[in-house]
Amino acid sequence: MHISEGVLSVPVLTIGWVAAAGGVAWGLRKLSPEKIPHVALIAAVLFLAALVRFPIGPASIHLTLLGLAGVLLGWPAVPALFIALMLQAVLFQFGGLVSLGANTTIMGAAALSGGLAFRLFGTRLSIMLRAFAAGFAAVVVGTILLCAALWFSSADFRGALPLIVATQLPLALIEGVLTTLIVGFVVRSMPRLLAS
Amino acid sequence: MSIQVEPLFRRYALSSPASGRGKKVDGFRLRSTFPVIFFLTVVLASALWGGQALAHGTGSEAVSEPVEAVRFFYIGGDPMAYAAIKVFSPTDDKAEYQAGFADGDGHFAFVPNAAGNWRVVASDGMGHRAEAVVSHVVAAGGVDSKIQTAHDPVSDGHLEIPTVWKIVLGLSLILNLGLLAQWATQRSRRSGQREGAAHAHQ
Repeated sequence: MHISEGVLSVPVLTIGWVAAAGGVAWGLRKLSPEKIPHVALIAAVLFLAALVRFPIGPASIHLTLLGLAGVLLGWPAVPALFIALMLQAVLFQFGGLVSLGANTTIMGAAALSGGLAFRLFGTRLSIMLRAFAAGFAAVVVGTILLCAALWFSSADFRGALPLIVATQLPLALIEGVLTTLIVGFVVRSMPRLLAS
Repeated sequence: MSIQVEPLFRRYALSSPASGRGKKVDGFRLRSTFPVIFFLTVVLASALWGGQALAHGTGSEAVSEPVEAVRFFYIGGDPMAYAAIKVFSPTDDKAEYQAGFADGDGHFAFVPNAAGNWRVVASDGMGHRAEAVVSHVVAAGGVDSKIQTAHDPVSDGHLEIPTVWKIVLGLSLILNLGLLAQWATQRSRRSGQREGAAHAHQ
């Protein structure tokens, strides 16, 4: 889900940076001092998750765990993602520093959507179903925003959008299952992480 | 058997003497058309001999010229299979010299027609882009080339750090940043409490 350097147009990059700056600032504002260790841990998990890659057809995709970040952190997931993506760009050339704003916006919005999906259903659904919905929704929203960024950047990418959707849908299912398993573990061992 | 002829050719044939010293085949006089056929045959043969008239013919041959090949991959080693490729020549950085697709293993090969830095850009259409610069040098004793990627720390003169150490470095930076942020907030909170206590004491 990382967009490389030289792919996006200047207007899309600008919008990405403005939205990312707003998201990071609001996320830091909503971050209580007690939550800082949690944010650092989730940022470390997000940093590592992108290294887990697996092929789907001719494409290669990687884990994101964006839904989990949204469920556990809420708005502070955005600054956590910003740090993780910046280090991924510097150390592994995932994405890039110029496209960091757009990548933070796309994945930050995806994480927030996951958190929203988890909280939206309240007690009407079991916590496991809500966790699955969070992991699934995060990838779906991230894919929609990724497609939109590529669509508005260049007509060259429009033909490949169905391929993106086709490769991201299996990832959405995988992320849904993983988020369910991890949230289930958190509920049993550290339920106070979900209390906020 | 009937012979289809073009109007101009037919006109020439019909204009020959009707007395018919030549042999007549379906109203077509071979004797009168022979000079034209001979002339055209000579012209076409000479053109073919010069290799100028093979407009619609095809052929193939093994290429012995220097071929530059690049492999594109994702960090971690997975190939950028069937990525769209654009090749830019040293003289024109805007219009591509060649376009095509990588193979299933991320390979792409092309034949440069000049010395210089050739830029090869791969895009998988999903937002991932890789760039390689092929330095194509035509030396007196043969061809020398050097391929460097856009983000190649080795070619930039820096040491390549193993992936494991990059992971350790990244995790260490994140966790230390978290500790630093917590230390800073606790410190500001303590100083705030001290100031509050001092105000209360006054």
